[in-house]
Amino acid sequence: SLDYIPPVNTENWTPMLPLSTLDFKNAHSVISRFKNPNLMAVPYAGDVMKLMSFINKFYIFFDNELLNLSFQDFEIGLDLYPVTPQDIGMEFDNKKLLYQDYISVKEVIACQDKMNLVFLSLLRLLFDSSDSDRSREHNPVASLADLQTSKKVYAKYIEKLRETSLDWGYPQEWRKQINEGDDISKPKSKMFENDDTIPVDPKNPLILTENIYEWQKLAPIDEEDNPLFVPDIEKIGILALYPNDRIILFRALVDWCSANSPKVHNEIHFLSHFKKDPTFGIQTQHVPRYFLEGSKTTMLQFQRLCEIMEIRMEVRSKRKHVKKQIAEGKNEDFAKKMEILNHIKASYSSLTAEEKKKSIIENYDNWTKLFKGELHDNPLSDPYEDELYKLRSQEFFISRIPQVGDFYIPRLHSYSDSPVSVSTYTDLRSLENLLDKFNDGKYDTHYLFENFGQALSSQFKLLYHDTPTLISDMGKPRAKKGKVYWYEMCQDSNTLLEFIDFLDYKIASPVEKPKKKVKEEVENNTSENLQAIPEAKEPEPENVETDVKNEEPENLDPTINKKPLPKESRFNASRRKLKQLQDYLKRLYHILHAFEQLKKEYAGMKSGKRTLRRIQRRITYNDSDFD
Amino acid sequence: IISPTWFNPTKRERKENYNIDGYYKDVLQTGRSSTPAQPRMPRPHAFHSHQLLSPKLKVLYEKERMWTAKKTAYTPNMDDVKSTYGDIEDESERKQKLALLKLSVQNAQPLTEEEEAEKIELEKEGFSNWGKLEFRKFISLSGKYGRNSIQAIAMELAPGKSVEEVREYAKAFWANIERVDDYEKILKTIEMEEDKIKRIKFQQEALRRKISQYTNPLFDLVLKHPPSSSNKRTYSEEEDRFIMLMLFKYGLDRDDLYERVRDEIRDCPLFELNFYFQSRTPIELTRRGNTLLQCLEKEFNDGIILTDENKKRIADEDIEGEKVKEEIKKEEAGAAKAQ
Repeated sequence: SLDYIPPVNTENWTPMLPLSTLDFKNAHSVISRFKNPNLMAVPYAGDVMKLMSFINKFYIFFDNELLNLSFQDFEIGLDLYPVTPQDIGMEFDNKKLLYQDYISVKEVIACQDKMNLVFLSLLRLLFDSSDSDRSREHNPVASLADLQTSKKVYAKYIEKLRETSLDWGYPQEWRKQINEGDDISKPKSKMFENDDTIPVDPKNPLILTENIYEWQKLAPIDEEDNPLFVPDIEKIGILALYPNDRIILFRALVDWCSANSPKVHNEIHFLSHFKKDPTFGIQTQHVPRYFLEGSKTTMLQFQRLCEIMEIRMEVRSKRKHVKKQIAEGKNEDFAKKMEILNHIKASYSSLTAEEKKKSIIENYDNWTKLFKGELHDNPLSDPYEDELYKLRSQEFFISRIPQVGDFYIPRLHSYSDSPVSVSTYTDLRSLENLLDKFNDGKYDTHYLFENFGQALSSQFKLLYHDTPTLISDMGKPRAKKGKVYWYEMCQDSNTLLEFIDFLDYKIASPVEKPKKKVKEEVENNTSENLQAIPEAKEPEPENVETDVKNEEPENLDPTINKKPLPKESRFNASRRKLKQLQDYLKRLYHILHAFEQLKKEYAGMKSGKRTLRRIQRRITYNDSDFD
Repeated sequence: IISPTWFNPTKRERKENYNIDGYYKDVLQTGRSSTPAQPRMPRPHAFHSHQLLSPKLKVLYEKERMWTAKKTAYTPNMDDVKSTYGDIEDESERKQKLALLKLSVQNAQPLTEEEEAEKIELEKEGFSNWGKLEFRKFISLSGKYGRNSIQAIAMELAPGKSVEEVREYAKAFWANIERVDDYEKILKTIEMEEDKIKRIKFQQEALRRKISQYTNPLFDLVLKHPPSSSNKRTYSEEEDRFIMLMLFKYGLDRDDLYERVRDEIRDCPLFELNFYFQSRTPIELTRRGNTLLQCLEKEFNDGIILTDENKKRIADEDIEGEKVKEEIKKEEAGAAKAQ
């Protein structure tokens, strides 16, 4: 009816959506299905992600030199290597290639310096308390120059750290392990031999403390094994530790900073105490809507929102009191909005339904004017713009595949105060536009250089998070320590292409042929021998399985699993989402490739106005020349 | 020119010359006065109610005191009335009491041999070896651990008192608490402290019951009375569930409980990239933990009340209902007869 105003707030229209752990409650890991030559287990990936995420969210405390770190910079700087999945947990010294074997020494040292700068920054965040300075402007606590000023730049912090870190809690790896048989929740010993059993007050016979128990205490490992007490750490910083301990200390420092650095703790308080909450409430983590639901769905949702808005305004404009108000000039706000709406509608009059939908997206700016006062944000607004979402946002997330897990591409610079226009951390419309430009070749490496592309991570890795296994381990009483949930699917644009191809095997629907084959056989049997029917039916289910394996002649290669995902219907959604992921990666490839080239061609060169002009004149070769 | 505001301060007092006699006056005074001491009214014998001595002993002490006064030929005065009977407003009453006191001194007799023996016997009965300080400690420990937790109380009273000594005293104390001065106040503080322990035990039980309701509490647990919605929510529900699960894992009566919870949060790969949860200090986690436990308490309070008080009420109501039914039947029957 005319009177009904459809509500706009029953659904949430936020650009961010919660990423729920419940999605994987009943899923089982399928990591073996993703076996391919580029698949590597990365035990330290979570810690590197954590550091990158920390630097990303709290970039105001970090030097510009650190805001474009790549995952690889951490690996090279800290000397960390991914392992093949079968080598998880094994110590092996005979690594095939070390970074210094194929990367120039200068580059390795540059990464190491940056790691020490991260180290110094975290230490200063912890102990330099200039609490008066509460501005939220970009104000780094340490720069590369600081590393060269004094030989003992870390000394005074390390000393304090050794004292205070005990109270702050040691990382798991540096705590004394509890004996296997000991149950942490059970008391270690009783204070008294026998419990109190006879009450002294017969009127109130309840015995409240029968015994006093001594509990298992947490203790740090012995000082001689404690990495914090390595003597060289004062002089040479983070590199004084063994590679594995380096990343552990980094992780611990981030933990300690979050809880104990006045600056960081204040910032977290600020980010967690806004007057309003997201429409979906406080959720553990959230991710951009267009990554969770896909860009098409997100666009459709925006169009749906516009349609609802249109109906709402039309119904309202026909109401008597509103008409009167407008006539008397009392509701100018609404009158203006109606004007905009009529303007938009007029431009639609000659369009088909399909064109109209497209034009809604193109008319984004006008439409959002109509939302003012009713909706804070919409599915297409920039998920990184509103600080409301910042603290719990997973910026590196790119996709969630049902029954499979999550995919991340850690690259820095989601938030910034610098004039970067080539960031992929933006609203869906700008992102699509950016990707299109790189796909069409309109934008290239040079364009990145001109537009401060160096402020972003130049290299990348595509990481797979085995969320199903993680979630199912959570339900178990004590999860195995040192278990790996992070895998690397590719580490540069070349291997990305290989992964994109590999996805074809997983997207493909399993062939239904085997069943028919068996049936044919059965039919053949019936025609030949009627009595054989019952016998022939029995082996059917088994045959299906074995036949599927035999169907794939290519599957002989042991390094790659070309089997499709299981054919159960619950994997159909996985296939759909994988296709979405593949499409996105195909488009993302060009810009990621350009970023890699940026590092190769313009390594560290600062773009000023003069250099820019000269470079534009000088570079006349095209891609084929370069190869 | 002297300023008009000049107020002419007093002259600084000069240091007195060093007075040797003055210095040694105190040092040489050995306590014995050269003048013979005035006979004094002996002070009442110290009688601490918490030592649980027989009231009869007080009578004996008083008799002894009067006799000592008589021996020294002392005449009581108004000050003695005050120290014996306390402040009395009424003038005439005060005089009466003085007369009474004088009379008792005049008539005083030494303790008889039997009385002497009884006194020694009665003194043995009480707990004269429990000082005021020990008593105060005993009271606060009875609150801290609960009154019946003798071993725990004794542990903190050692080495002054053995477990058996404490047990004996505690038994006597609870049997004769009315004889102790200010016992209402003492009892109230103990009960208040005991309630705290009971509350934690109740919370522990509520937590156990709540968690046992779910096969996978980390994902499925739902609070019936979630934390107040008027407060700013900063923890996600998932985080709340994790805290509760960890409280259950470690139990509520460990002193390093929330340090453990903090470490569990850090160690849990589920929260690897969750800076809010990881930034919570043990103090902040304690606050959240208590809030959550209160919510649980509320949930299980309903159930507990039903089992205790309401059961009786429901039973009573049933009996009442039966009675009413009977009466109605009778009335109907009566009415039918009348018709």
